[in-house]
Amino acid sequence: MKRWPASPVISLFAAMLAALLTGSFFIFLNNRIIHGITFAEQRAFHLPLIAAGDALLLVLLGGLALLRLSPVRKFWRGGLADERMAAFRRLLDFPLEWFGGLLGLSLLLIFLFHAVEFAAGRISLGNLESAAKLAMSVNAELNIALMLAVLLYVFSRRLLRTQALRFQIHALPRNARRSAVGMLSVTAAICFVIVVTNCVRVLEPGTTVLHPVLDYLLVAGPYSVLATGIFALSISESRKELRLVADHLHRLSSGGRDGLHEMFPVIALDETGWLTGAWNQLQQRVKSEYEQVERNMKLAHAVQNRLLPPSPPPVRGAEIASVCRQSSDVGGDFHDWLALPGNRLCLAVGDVSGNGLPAALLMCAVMTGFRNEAAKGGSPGELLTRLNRHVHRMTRGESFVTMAVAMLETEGPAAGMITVASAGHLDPIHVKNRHAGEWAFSSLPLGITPDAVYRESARRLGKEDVLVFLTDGIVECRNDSGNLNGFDWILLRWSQPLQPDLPLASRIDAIMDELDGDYAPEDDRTLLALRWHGDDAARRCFALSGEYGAEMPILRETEAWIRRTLPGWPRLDDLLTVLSEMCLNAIEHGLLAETGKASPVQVHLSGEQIRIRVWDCGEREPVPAPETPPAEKWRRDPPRGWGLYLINRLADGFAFGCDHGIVYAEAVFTLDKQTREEC
Amino acid sequence: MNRLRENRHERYRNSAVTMTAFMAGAFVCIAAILYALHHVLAASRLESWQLYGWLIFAGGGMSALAFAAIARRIVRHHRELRRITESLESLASASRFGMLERLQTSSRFEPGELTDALNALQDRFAREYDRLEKDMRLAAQVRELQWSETPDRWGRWRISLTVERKPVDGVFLETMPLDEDRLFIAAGVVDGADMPAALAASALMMVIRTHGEPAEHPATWLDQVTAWTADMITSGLELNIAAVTIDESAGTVAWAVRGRAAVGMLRDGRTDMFGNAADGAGVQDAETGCNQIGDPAGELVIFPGSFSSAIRLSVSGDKEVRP
Repeated sequence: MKRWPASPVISLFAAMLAALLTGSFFIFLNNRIIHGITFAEQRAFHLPLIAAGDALLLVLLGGLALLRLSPVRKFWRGGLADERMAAFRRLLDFPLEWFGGLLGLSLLLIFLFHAVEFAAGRISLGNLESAAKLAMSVNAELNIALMLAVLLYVFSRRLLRTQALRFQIHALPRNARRSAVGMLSVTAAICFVIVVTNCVRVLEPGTTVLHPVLDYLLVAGPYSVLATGIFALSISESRKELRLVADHLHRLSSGGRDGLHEMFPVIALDETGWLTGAWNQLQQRVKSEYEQVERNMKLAHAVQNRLLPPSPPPVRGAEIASVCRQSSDVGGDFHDWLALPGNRLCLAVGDVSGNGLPAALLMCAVMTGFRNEAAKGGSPGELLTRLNRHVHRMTRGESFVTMAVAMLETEGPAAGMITVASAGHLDPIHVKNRHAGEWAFSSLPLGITPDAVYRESARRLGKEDVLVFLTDGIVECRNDSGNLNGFDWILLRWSQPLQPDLPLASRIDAIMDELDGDYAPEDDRTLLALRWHGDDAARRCFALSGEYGAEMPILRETEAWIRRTLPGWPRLDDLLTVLSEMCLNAIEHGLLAETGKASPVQVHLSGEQIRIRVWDCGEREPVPAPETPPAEKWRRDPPRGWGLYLINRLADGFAFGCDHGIVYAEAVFTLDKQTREEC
Repeated sequence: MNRLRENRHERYRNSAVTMTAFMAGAFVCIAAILYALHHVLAASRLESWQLYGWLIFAGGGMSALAFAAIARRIVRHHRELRRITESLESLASASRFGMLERLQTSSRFEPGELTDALNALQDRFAREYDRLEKDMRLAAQVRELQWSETPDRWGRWRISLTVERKPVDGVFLETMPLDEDRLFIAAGVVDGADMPAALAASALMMVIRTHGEPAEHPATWLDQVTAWTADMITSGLELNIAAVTIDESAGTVAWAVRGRAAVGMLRDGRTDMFGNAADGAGVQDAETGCNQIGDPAGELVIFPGSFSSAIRLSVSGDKEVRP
């Protein structure tokens, strides 16, 4: 619970005490200099009266402060929400009340003081000179009261501003509105009264102390400076509140998108407060408009995201990895893969002209069209030719789509044979023996003309060859200096040696992270890579997505492969259990929280052992496997806590490692001599 | 950027300094004039009370003049602030584009600076709106292009559309003559926020077009399409779809509806609803059936998702026209 801090109350009392003491001091000086009353005489008569007056003022004004600010204290001690505005108004009204209170009480005390003086026979009103002297004295005291009242008003307003901020009021009701014009005009008038009355007073004949001009300058000068100071203080306090609002607006207009709809708390009941309230009202309106658009965009993003494939299917002999990052919530880039009958894998990468929602509309249509057409069969060229007719019918030549389709034979004598057709898409990159080169195509994008025919080209991929498809967002982005990175940039990235052990996804992530770090995202970016290990490869690479059950295709593919390669191996069940536990660990402790991400999984069969590696998608510290069964944990939470213990018991070796900055878990199964020989 | 901001600030004056300088000047002038006046009046040997009377009168008069000038400035300053406040309030209650209007000012002080800051911020909002509006405009164009060209006639049937559409929404319609005697119509609405609904509808239209010839009964087709698009219909979206095959040779209309879609026949002034999946207690499951068209045929009405939109097929009597 927020509490009303003691400091403002203490500060208010301190300010009041200081004001009263200063006022008393000025009265003493005034009596001594102007009226020539000695300090001894003042101590005997004036001091007790002034002290009593000060004490009375302190009690009455202090009481006024406690009384008027009690709703504020009550609110901060646990008041209801609907009391907030009342407490806020009371707080901001208080300086004016204090000003009026001090002025009224001062007038009363001045009257009482002179009445006592009159009763004690110290003054008489019998002649004009005495009356004039009394008037001068009253004028001087009144001047002091006016000055102190204004100063106290300004200081209390400043002290209570921090409290007003704490209320976080963003709108001011019309009936709470005040105007600063009145108080500023009163302050100006008071300043004129102070200057004029003191100038006239010092011109009194027969009161020359040093020299008539010097005396005049010594009195009129300081009073003018004092009056100017009071006015300056008052107007600059008012301006300071306005400046806070102006600076806030400047910050918003030149800042980033964060905090663009930030509201500014009202700190005054006058024009500055009205302005702040009106501004907040506008901000609220703009914010609600934005939020509606943002909500829609998020939903649109979800619809589009659900169209994109979650993670590549387990493919014999091949490893697939891809990343698609839209420059806004929705975009026109897409990629897809489909496992087709006859041990064929169909890959597609596309880019719709334009970006944002218009591109996304077409992207959704083209992706669904691609899936339907791919399911009907045919080569990549035929598929694109059919799809082009649909796209043209849909866009009537007004918009176009670039797209590349590849069909990979994964088994049999044609395993590794890849056929590619491109519809005006960027040429794919073929990485062979650390040399990255373009696979050139020349064709029209989809949707330009209904009769376009797409030729295709075929190659046989060698072991560890990589084929990369990309969209123009990768090569056409500009760095801070405004330079395009170009095709050579991406060729260079793929020319760097890629270790067979390192998952393809890590290379793609590294490239995309480099782009995100150095280049402003102007367009959607998609990168899809395929690495061919060979259908007889001793390595199987998979991508594990963040949902329960995603491990099942990996287990099935691994089981079929091990049964084929090591028929009758007795530890297959153990290996599958370990693989399953490792995948589930990766899902539960990382992937579930990382929407849309996939972790690479590798099963590697070498002459002496089978090695399972599951990479981590986050940057977590690995948890050591327990040496003994976590019995206490089992009793408390039976189905949990088995994973690492089981892996440790079933596998011949289990460890966490780090490769190129990515953490992975690795389990090893050693093959016995007989199995090795059979293998 | 900071430099620019500083320059912008420098264009405006500090009202507190200006007014304080004016006050200080006024005080100096008043004090000097009063002293001079005192000398002049003292020489004219006036009575003391007369002398003070004149001095107070002169001081009061000069103060009143100076006060009037400073009060005028204070009033103008705050009137300008009130004007900005009123402008902001009217902007807040204006339409989306009205909100982006620029504020005007002639003040060389803080209100001017404030107006500039507000206008700069309005410009930012305007840029964001422009981007969104441009996107929406282009999206509307894409949707318009995607919209299927429906023939006016098919056989003896005249086809008329009353489809309530927004520039970007989830309405879709596809008319496919299967052969001489059969016409297939799929119409629907993806309910929900406009943008995501439009994305889903866009994908659905392509599914319908590339799916190939509909199966024997639209119900099978509808099941397949629903399965295909299940992934796209996320929470917040709802699919209403009607699939109808008119078979002239068999004299039947086979239909399948889902969501709030409905199919009916207007005959002899009354509506015979064939299928309305949302009929009853808001049932949302698919409903299918096959009805005889009858002779003379009535007006076949397909409601894609609400009764405000309809595809009407009425008998024109002219059998020769083929699309």
